[in-house]
Amino acid sequence: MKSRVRELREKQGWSQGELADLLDVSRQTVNAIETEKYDPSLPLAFKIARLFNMRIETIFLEG
Amino acid sequence: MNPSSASRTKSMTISSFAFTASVLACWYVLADIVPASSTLLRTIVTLIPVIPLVFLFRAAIGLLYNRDGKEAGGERALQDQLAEVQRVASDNVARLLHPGAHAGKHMRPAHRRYMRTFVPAMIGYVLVLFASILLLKKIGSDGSIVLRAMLSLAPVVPIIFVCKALIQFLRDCDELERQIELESIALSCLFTGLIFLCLGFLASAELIYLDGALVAIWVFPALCGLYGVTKCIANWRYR
Repeated sequence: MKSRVRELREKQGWSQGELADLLDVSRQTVNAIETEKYDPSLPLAFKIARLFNMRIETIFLEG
Repeated sequence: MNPSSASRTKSMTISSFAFTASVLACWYVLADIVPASSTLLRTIVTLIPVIPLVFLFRAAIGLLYNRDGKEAGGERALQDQLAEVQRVASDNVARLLHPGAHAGKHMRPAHRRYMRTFVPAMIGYVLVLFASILLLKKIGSDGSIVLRAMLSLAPVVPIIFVCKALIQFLRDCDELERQIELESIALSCLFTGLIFLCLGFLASAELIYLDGALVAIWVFPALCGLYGVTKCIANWRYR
């Protein structure tokens, strides 16, 4: 699954660690989502979408 | 914490592990390899654990005194220094176990809680193990069966705390960490089972001789060792 998390995070000027703190996950998890090595669960995807104030399908794209 | 005290604390952590490992290695070498007649060799082997102990004391002294040799206690209370030692030591151990999760950052609460139980439990395990072996040797076969059984099983008590810490950690960690943990545990169980199955077949074909008690003792350490290896691989995959 393609992810726009990195692009959105950089737009906000957050580091991976800061985003991890906001989502209450490890920095490793944020990095794995950004590098598309790991697809987040639905609750985490909703959390990310809420944080960026966007819809899930605009952040995570079928790929 | 300034860089020099951080490196000293790191040195203390490494020395502590080296000391534990060398004591166990010496115990094994003295019991099984070095002949009883060779006094000089036995003395040299016995003194090997002193080397990491010297480094441990050197780092500890360096931490309590500043570079000029003046006592640092005037600037900061000893209690604060010891609290920092404990925090950085557990931080270093966690970085070894979770390299991806701790690149240059402090531990997450889940890891901190895990290390707070894991480190004292492992230290307790080593101490109880030595005490149990010494007491069992002292009592010999004269002691009551209940007492001998209790002494033999005493080292399991701190290991129960390690298991409890791991279960708590699995509940506290995030979804990717949990996936990594479960993958590592599943793979290490499979590999351990496979290794001991092979050993069992070889022993039943009388190609090797296996002591049943020794095999039973080594199952859990083999599982833990393989868990470490599989976890490193899983961490590397998601890095």
